[in-house]
Parts: sequence; C-alpha cells; structure tokens
Amino acid sequence: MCYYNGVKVTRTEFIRLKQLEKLIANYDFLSKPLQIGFEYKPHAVLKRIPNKEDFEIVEMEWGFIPSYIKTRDEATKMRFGYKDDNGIFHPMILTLNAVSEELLFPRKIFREATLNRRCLVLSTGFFEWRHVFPLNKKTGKPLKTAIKYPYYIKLKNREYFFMAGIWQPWTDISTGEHVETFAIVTTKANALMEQIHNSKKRMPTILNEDLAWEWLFGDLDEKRISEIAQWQFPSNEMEVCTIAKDFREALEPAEPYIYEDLPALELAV
Amino acid sequence: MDRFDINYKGQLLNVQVVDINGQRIYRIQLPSSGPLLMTRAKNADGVYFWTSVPEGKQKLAEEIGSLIEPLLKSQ
Repeated sequence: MCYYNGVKVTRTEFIRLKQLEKLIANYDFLSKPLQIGFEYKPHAVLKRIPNKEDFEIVEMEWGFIPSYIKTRDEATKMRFGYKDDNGIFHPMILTLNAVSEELLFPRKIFREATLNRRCLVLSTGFFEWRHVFPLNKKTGKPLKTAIKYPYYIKLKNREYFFMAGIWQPWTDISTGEHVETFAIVTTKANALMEQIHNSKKRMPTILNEDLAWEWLFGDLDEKRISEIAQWQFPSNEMEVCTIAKDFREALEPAEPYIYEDLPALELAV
Repeated sequence: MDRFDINYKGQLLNVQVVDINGQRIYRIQLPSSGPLLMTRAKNADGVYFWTSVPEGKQKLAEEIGSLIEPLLKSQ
C-alpha cells in the first residue's frame, strides 16, 4: 500500500495519480509554446510550499507588480507609460525581467522578493532577436538600421527547463483583486546568446536541476543568491534555430525558418 | 458541464472540468493563489475520495470536492 495526500491507496492507484501529475505538468501551461511578456499573461511557475521541501505549480502573472503600486490602473500605467494631467509623459517601467547583478541593491523593488520569494519559471524554450547591420554597398560600412531576425532557443535533450524567478503577491486595494506576479532573472549572455541577443547581450538565468533546487529551497545568503542568479547556462547545451518573423501569429511559433541572407552563428563556443 | 461556479465560504469560485488522456481533472481558480487541480481517486478500501494533484492540498480538495459532488450527481 502507498499513501497519496495522506490517504492510503493501492499501488495501482498511486501510480495512476503520479502519472496524472506528470500529464498535468505538460498540460495547459507547458503546451503553450509561446509566452509574450508584453501581454502580461499568466505563466506556469514552481512556487515553494512554505516550510517544506515541496512545491506546487501555479499560474502567475508575468510582470512583477511592486507593493507601492496600489491599483490595477496604476499597474497598467507603470507597464505602458502614461501622460499625467499636466501633459507630462511618464515612460513605462518594465518589470518582466530582473537584472541579476542588481537584485539585492538596497531599495531595489526586487530585493525583498529575492531574499524571501524565489521561484522557478517553467519554459520549453524562448525567443530572442538578433540584430544584423547590413553593409552599405557603396561605402562598405554598416548601415545604421538593423535587420532583426528572431531565434528560438531551447535546451538539448530537455523538453522543459527552469529559469530563476522571483515573485510578489499583490492586491488591488480598490477591488480586492489578488494576483501573484513574477519576474524572470537575467544574467550576462553566454557566448552563444551573445551572438543572438546581440543588442543587449543578456539571457534568462537558466538553472540546472541542482541549482534550481537550491534556488527554490536553499537557505541562502546574499552572496550565494547572487552567484546562482548570475550563473550562465553553458552554450554547448543549448540549441537554436531561426524562426519566421511573424512567429507571434504562427500556429507553430518555434517552427524553424531559414533566412538565406543571414550570416551564420559561430557555433564553436 | 465544462464550467460552473460554486460558493466556497462566501466566495464564488469557477470550476473548469478538463479531461486529460481520459482522466477527469477539476481546475478551480482560487482568489488568493493559483489554481487548484483536483481529481477523484479510490482509496485502499475502494471508496472514492477527492484529492489535489499534485499532493499538498488534501483538506482543501475534500472541502471543495464536497461542494462539487452534489452538482455532478444532479446532472
């Protein structure tokens, strides 16, 4: 006999329920191949169950809402920018990503969450744009306007993987709406990602299983948190391909698409 | 009956019924956290009970399951 959720069940039933867990993990959240951050949609996140070495998979809203934001209207203004009554434009504040090197800076909006609410963001792959500056046919010098090519990046032999995240519970004080929001931690791009995301040279902090466990469950000091947050997943364990420029509207956004005019990446990295 | 609402402790919760590979999952959107996923399972004595999947929210699954069950039986 085995126990599931504290209830005695047969081995057969136990196995069925465990298989169902795996099915669920692939269902709904993970079956969505594309998450576009700017739509601030829900995403699958592994959140620690307090005081246990156990987690639950929950949906959180991508786009960290700091505690000083009091209403959904304020959150929308923060995310998209707005013009105040005096006609002054306040630019958007992007909280989709959290820069690992700055997470623990004093008074940084991410500090408290980094110390107390770390999570893992499930991903099957992600998208990034490579900027290529064509050469002027007359002068031979690069043009000022880049042509952008989208890439799909995933891990070799892994259906899904973990990105380091931090999360924040948030309540709209005017409506009572309660959501959990998160940001993906980013680090300096590795040699491969440096060529793809060549405008910013950043990438998500992808964690191997040991580091993912430590990030979620470890009793970590600030030094160790920073070390993990800034960890670079190795280039040679990643796979990349170019995809169609209209991938956001495509049925299969990660479908490879070849650009004849695109210079190849240096893959010996 | 793919979706319906239940009243749980004064709050209206939406229940979504999903079949995954022939197995029925109930997805309940909780107001204060992420969704609760639960199903009906059989204990060692052959009696059905409600359980969260994955494990960890058994008490909540039983409470909410007891609200869903009459609705399912009235179908």
